[in-house]
Amino acid sequence: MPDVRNDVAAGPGRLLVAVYGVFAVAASSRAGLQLATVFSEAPVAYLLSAFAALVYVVATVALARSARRVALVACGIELVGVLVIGTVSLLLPQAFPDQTVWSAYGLGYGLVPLVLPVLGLLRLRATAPLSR
Amino acid sequence: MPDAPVIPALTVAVAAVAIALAVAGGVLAARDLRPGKPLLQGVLLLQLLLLAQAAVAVFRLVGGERPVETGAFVGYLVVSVLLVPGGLIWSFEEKSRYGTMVLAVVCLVVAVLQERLDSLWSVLA
Repeated sequence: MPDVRNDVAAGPGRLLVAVYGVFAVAASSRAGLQLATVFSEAPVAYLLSAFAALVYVVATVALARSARRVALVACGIELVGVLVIGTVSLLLPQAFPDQTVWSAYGLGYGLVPLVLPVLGLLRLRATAPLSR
Repeated sequence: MPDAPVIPALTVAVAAVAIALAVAGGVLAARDLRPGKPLLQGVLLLQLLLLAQAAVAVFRLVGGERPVETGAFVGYLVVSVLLVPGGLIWSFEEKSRYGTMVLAVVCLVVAVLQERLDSLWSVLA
């Protein structure tokens, strides 16, 4: 049992993981449905959505279990993803015929996709064990 | 002309109860309180309403009524009955205000889901 101060999913982390979980479920069900039904309409966008969904699932589980390294990588990928895809989707809208969670920095989802990885990384830092 | 929403009165009732619980949870959390018995009873009532709604929806789906996006509708329906139990389990061990906030967020998500369920059902195949 880790020290409560190092438990990523305690206190505010509890709420963070809950929101991450909702997002993971929403993103993966949507991606699953898109891959199963309308995949050929916009393969790139839907594959990207599926990838994003997978990263949300990994991040949720890793944050919930205080698996720091995995959580760090997942949140990092999310932050880079939302920034890169957000920028590309604004500069080259024709590259994304259908929305992904990361389009326009996640504006379609209330910018939650942009805020979540930042909060995740802050939470990881706040609970980091002192290793000096 | 598509049929009426899933069950209009029930959908509205679920959304109203969910929003009321989300507000109550938010107020409790702001005052640094854990969810008390009234809030938990309210959450239980919400879950019973959600189960009733899911039962009616399944009954009508089996009866041959199909929203255009049946897959998405069923997905939302499944999530709608799992959210509250999941939120309760996840918030149970958290003794701080954040446990209360987890319940408030779950109720808010339930309310949003009602809008999605309702709009999907209103476009029948």
